[in-house]
Amino acid sequence: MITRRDALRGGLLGAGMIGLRAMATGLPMSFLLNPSIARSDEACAAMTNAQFLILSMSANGDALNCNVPGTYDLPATFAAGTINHPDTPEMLPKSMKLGGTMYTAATPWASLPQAVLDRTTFFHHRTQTANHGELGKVLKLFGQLRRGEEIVSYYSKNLSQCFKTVQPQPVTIGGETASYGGRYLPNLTPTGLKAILTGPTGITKDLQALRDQSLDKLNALFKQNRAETSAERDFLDQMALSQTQIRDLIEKVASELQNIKGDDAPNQITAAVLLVKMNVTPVVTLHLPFSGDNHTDALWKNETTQTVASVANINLLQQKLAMYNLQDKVTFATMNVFGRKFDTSLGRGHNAQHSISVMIGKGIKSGVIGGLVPGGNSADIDSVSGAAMVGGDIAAADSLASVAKTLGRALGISQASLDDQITAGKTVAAALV
Amino acid sequence: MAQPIKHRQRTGWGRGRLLGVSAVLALTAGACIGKIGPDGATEAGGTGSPTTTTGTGGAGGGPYMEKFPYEHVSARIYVSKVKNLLIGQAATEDEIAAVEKDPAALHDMVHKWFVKPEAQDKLFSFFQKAFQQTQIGVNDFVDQGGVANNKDLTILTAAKEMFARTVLDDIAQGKPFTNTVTTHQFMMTPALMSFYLYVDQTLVDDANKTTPNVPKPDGTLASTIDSWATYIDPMLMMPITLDQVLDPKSPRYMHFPVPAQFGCNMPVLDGTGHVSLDAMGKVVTTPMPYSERQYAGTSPIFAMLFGTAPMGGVKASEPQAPPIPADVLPADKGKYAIQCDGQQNYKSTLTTAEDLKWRLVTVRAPMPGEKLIPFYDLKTLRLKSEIVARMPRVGFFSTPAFFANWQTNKSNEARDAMNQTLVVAIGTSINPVDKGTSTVLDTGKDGEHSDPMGPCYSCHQTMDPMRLIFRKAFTYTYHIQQDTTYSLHDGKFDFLGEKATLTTLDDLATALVNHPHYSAAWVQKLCYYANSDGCSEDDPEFIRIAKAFTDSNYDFHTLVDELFSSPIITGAEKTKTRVDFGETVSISRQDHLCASLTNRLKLSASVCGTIANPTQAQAVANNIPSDGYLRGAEAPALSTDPTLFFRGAGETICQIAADIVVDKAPMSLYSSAKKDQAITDFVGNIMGLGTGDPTSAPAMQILQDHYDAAILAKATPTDALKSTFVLACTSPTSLAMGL
Repeated sequence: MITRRDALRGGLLGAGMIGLRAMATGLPMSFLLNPSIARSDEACAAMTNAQFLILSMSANGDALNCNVPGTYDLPATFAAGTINHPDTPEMLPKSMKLGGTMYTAATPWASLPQAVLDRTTFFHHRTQTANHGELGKVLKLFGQLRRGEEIVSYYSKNLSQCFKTVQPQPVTIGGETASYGGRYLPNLTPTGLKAILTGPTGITKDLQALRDQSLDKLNALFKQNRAETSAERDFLDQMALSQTQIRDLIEKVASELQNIKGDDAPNQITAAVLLVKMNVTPVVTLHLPFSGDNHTDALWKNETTQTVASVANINLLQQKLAMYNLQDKVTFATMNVFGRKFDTSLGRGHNAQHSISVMIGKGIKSGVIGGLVPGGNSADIDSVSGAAMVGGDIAAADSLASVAKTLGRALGISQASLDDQITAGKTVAAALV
Repeated sequence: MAQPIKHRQRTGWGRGRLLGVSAVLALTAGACIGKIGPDGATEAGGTGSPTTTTGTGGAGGGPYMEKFPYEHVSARIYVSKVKNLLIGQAATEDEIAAVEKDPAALHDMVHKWFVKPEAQDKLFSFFQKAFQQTQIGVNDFVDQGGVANNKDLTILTAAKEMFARTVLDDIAQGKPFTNTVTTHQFMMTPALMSFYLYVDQTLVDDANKTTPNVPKPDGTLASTIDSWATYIDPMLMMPITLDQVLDPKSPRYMHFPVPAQFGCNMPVLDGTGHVSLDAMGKVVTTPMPYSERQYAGTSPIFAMLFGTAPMGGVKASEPQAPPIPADVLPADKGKYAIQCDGQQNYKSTLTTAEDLKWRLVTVRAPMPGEKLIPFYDLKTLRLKSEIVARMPRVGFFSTPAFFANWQTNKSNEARDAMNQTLVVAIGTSINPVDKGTSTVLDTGKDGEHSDPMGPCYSCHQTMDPMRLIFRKAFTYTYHIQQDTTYSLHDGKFDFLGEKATLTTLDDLATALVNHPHYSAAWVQKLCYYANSDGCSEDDPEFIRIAKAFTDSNYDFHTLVDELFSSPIITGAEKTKTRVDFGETVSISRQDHLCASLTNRLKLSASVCGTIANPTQAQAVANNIPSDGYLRGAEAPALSTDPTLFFRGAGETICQIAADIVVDKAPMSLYSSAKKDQAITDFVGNIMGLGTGDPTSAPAMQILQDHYDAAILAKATPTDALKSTFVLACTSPTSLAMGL
């Protein structure tokens, strides 16, 4: 029988009673506190300057690649009319300074604050697919990341060990799909997060705390007397863990989540920053559009509107990070399934041969990595200087893996781990501080 | 005859397990993932050593590597899983005992569960997703329907339901499952029949030029058609009827009734003919209602028939904007415009409940000289079980909902529709290693597509000849193709060794059902549904089931009987699937959890579909993952882990259910006055722990203790019982599949 004293104690202390919960569920206390802790120390020791990652992904294959530094001021070897940019007033070419060098880009990029540009690099590469359905394969680097893992999963596993985040899995908001350990992650929304993380009050909260205690007992009962296989036992452990995680999270974020009003890009950014601030996850994915699948885009309407909005939202992200003093803790990056052709104003086709990853963070050195060759394809890269170079030691075909290695290094993952896990490409030192 | 099944490496293969599983497993699981080289060969991807355990019985009968150790699953667990999967109910002690005594008894149980209404409801949802007829919104039909933001969702909801209803009807009638690919008969409502004919009688070419092609009363086809949205004062007691709308002799012919006048605000002019401005500088206007809008073309007619009067269309006899004096600056000219209402949505008085009734309808091509029925003639359509359309409609892959999912354009050229057709029918997507024998058709502007080493080559080589059959039949907006550049050219099917000439969509359907992957594809889809993971297609048990499906003349009931009683689903015996994939205990995703709660609580409507509180609805919809499909993906997108978000949302839906069934007047399922009886049912029914289960009694005690603790914490008996219900409902056995 549970006494009134037990009930009140449970209600007051709730999920914080890790010791009792460990006894009740049969899980080690360290597991409840952090399931990856047993493996974390060694791996974390090799990591310095670890960073959270906010990654914008797109299976649309946006025209992000078409209007960034490195696609303007091209030499005469590029035939006239082969590399086209929007001629809308909002997207006119404008000078910008990256790492002490002047470049040209569409106005929105050039209008980012210099402090942001000073930690921004534009990494030209190719994904070698023109299929929308292959974002998952791009995230897996087409098999160049071991164990069939996606980079969001790989980064998240490594980083969670250092940050001791509430959960090791990435959180995906914004509609694109990613996996962790081979399992699809649920697609969440900012308003969905807000709805689920708004905690109860009064007697309802007391009853919830009592239920948590009772659920711990049920978990322990089932683990001891029902579960027959390791999969069944693992599931029970996960259920127990998720209960701890959500109670912990509600206490931390409930009030701040009230700022979320919708599911658009600014609200995705708000949610992403809060999830990082509250140490929920090391990796958040969201979706910032830069044109959509714009095969038909008369007069560059979608490309203009979306690029202007998304660059503004990147700036908004930097402002919010600064507001929470997280600007040196979080790296932002983009990863598209493919880029788009440099066609004319009627729209753009899929470009398997050129894409861009924008990286912004404390560990990123301002500049442009790689570039274009005539025909609108990405160039080979010299890994030391980062310059586009015919016959450079990073073949264009390996440039996607190089993006992953370079970003991983910027996130603080050890070079040894990156070289062990990513079987192609090289880290581009010129992109790193 | 059993067909040889080719093994294809899937990208989701060799999934890692949950936290805490040894690195050895992770390494060996990943050993299957390799980089696809330029020649299509698979290189080793992992560095871990494979386990040395081997089994036998692969496709060739030889030894195979065991990636996961086999662990036996008892009848108590797997009978509960299978019954929950099929009908969302808890297994009874009698059922468990029968299977414990004779495992073959499960086969008969599955056979009987399959025909229950609960199973049909679950299959309905499965088929909607398996045939990719959902995951779309109103505006996804704009290409075909030409009416944006049509608020009458009934037709669009029906479009999403149509094919799943067709499949269930086929199964009930004992038709072979291949009919789902080849059929020309569909479950339809008269409203849907009207939609089919509306699309058929509206020509939209590849340049998006729209031309009506509507049968006139004399049987000829009209390329222009006028219509009116007309308001008649109800006080006159002379409403416009459907008979009048359809009668060419009536003055109300093609005049569709609207329930209210349209509103405009007319700028008020001063004595000089200039607009008057108020103190704030705003234009002074006066209301100017009017009674009729006039339209040209087919889309306003379809819209008005079902309750939408599109914007615009003000007749010349209705109020017009005032003339703009010559001295008005360009920036001020807008002040002289009439501000009128936009699109008006209303409940159509021309439709009846009859228009929502489902019946099996044959869609066939017209005979020479045969008169067509105008799409707006609901009166005739209500009496028909056949419609005559020039546009071919065959199987799942040419339904409006499938096309709404996979819209196309000049660049895509129906490749999406073709690839998704392959994914649905034979479980395979065009893959960079799938090179047929055709010549690449699309050389592209840069020649990239004709470079055999390029990433686009194989897709275009295999895909382009095949997708021509869609372009032959349809324009980019899925209307009748009349451009002879396409309409006179056949397609070619050349995929994974199978070849066929595609003159009609029927040829494509035949190629698909004759493909050796056909049976395996449906075994695999159900594997994902049941196991939340794939099955090994070279598993002898998998091959046996696929053969049984084929040998039964593709009887879906037989397939379910064989698969759901098989050890590759139950885990009762060691199979290659089990040691290839391991066991997945998954969260109960949305379809399963909602069905389970609804059925166990004997609710007449889904507990998930009737959530009034928007915050709770959002929490459930966004955080309890649904089964879904992705563009280009052979495997469904299935979340399986009990994340903290799922945990929170599970609690939310359980709280919603508690409010419905505990002390809810007048016919409450559970009463706090009979709390012991309620708690007994919570354990047996909601948690699925029968009286013979060793955890039943201790679980009952935990629930009783919780109730007592809640009372001690000053909860009312109602709140205490609700909380106890939520406890049972959030128990791992309630929120998991396979526990």
